[in-house]
Amino acid sequence: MAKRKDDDSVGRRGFLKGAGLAGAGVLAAPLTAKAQNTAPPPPASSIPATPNRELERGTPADVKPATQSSSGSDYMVDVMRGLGIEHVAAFVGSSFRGLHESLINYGMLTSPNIDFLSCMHEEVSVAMCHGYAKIEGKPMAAMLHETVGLQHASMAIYNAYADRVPIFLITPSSPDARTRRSTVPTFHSVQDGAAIVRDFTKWDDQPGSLQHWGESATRAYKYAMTPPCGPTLLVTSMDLQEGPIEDRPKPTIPKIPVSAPPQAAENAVRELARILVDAEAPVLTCDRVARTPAGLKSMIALAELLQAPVVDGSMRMNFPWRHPLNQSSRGRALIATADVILGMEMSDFWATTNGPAPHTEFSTRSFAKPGAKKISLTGVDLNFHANYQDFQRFPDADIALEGDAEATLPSLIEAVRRLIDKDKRAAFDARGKKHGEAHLKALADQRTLAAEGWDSQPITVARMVMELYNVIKDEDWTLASGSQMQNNWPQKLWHADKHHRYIGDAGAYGIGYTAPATLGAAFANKKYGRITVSIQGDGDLMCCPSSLWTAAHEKIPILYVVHNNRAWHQEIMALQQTANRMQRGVDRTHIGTTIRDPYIDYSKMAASMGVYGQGPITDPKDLGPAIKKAVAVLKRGEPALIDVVAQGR
Amino acid sequence: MTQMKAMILGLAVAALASASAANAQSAASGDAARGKELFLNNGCYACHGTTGAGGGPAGPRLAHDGLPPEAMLQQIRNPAAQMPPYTAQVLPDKDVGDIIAYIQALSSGPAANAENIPILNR
Repeated sequence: MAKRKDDDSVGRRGFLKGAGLAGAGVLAAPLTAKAQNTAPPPPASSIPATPNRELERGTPADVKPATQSSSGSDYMVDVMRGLGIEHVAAFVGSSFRGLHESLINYGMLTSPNIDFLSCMHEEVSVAMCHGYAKIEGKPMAAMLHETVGLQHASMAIYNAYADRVPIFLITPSSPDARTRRSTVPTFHSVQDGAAIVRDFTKWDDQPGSLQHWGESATRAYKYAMTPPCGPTLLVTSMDLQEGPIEDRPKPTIPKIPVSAPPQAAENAVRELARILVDAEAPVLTCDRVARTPAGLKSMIALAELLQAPVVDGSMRMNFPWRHPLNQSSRGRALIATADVILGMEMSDFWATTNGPAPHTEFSTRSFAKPGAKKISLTGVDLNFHANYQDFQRFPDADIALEGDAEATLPSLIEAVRRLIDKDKRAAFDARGKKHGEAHLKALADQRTLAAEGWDSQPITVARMVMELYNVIKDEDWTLASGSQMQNNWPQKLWHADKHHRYIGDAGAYGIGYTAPATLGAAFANKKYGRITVSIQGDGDLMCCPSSLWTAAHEKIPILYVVHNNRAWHQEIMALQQTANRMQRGVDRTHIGTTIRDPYIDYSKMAASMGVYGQGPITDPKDLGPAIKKAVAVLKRGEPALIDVVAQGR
Repeated sequence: MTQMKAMILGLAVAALASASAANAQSAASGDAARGKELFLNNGCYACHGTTGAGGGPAGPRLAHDGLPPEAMLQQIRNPAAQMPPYTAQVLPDKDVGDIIAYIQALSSGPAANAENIPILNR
């Protein structure tokens, strides 16, 4: 490293080292005396002194002892343990070296363990937390290097925010120019580090003392976990991490309260029940209802009680895919004829009843039946944030119930149950029978569509998806990737009725989510012995390819089936549309949208990072055997990747 | 899917009067081999798959879909939904005819029977 201007700081460190050998007590006395001789007494003020670090530590901020036997970051580890945080993902950064050292030498070696997961990019760290939380139902922590690390992480944080997923984030700070080193650490210093992600985190704080840190960590955890869930951020100064706390009473570790998620108002729930029971053709739509397995059970109970069709946007495992009342395949037709549409935790309720008008670029039209009653039930209305437009168009709902849908469903179910008499029951059963028949017909239709081009090369997406299902169907599996880019074939053709079978997609559609987030899900699944599969877009994989190294390094069993369409396929279609609108043709729309010249060999890329790789698979007959081999690798506790050259969609 | 097909057919019927008979005839007697090249080079494959399997909202199935040439022509020139419009300036009538011939060739044999594919029936 080049010799820097701050030679004086090196000299000071050398001096401190020598002084430390003589004893910290000896050192402290002359410095204190000097300060008393030169500094005037502070003016009287009603404003309290900001940090009380010195009181907690007993050591002036610019005098670091040569050795110490405790640190603030040990306390932080204890607080995180108390919150039930079991893992911290991080791409190494010197600004959190205090916490890093505490984790590896204290947290990992004392019970209950809190482990360190090695990542190669902050986007990977955060997305791993994202996938982990959707399986485990609680946050994992990510440490993000001051400024630049948080900048790297920002898209993944936005994804988690829009997906309503709790994550416990820590980013360091070094606010005091007097004590931080110049040049690189100063480039990485910022007055308000959290500002860059404040629009898409639920809460942040920059504690001034360890006690404050403990309280804010507990608050951050509580806010992250309160629906609508989301990431929270603690800005944690290096002084606070690294300063000793010996000879002082340890700050206390606050308790996490048992909290009840917000439910919709009781009278509104009763009214909603009445509307649903009186409806001729109600439709239940949902995106992120089932935060937990209880949400899935409640969805089944409500739908069966009403014998009402469910149109599932598949952002969670809200409703069994083969349930007779699952009518997602013909959702739009049902919505167009419904008299009551209940949207629960919808990502975009407006789009449930509105879409593009034909032959237009920007015009839209409602396709709901005139007079249809639209009712929303969501906790997202309780989380007010401006700027980022994840709240979508204003839904033209007739009634809006503010409350978490999963938490509200039990009282709604009870209210509905009380209103159903014998006649209603008979009418509902007749309705349910029709929907059951329609479900079977839709399934047969989808199978017919899936059969088309069955032996084609490139391999059809339907065949790729079904070859995968054929191997895993008798295992305890999780499909950890979203399936929109695969035409939702799994939802149309697979049988899934457990909450952990599917966890939805990125939230904000930020590309680069799938590889690391599905890895986080696989990490959470490891202790349950589940088979985790990820249908992985090739373009998405190249945003965070180092996820593969983390998979190998941390021995996380996951099967990546690379849907290799050799393009950012969505963008090809968008660019073709624009080029043709300009009447310039599509001849050049491959520029910037395709991944060719050269093609990427993903199996070799995986192998280079210690992951078992197969492919590129071009013949559909080779795919089933390749998946079987890869699943055997997973059962040894290792990751695997299969590169499948497949159709665009 | 069914709804989209119905919409396309509806538009096609409405447009039959204006679609030239010559174009439709040219479509029916096009060069399927050349049409395949055009199908791949003009990006049709991107949404509908290289063999017209389609299968999702991005692009419905074309093979064995039963869409008449006139309706295909109408959809290509003045599409419903989100398909890019291919005007005569970017895709001459002859090319459209050849593409339609390729789609018809894809549909010439019997459609795959899902019941004969065991893994589709799990």
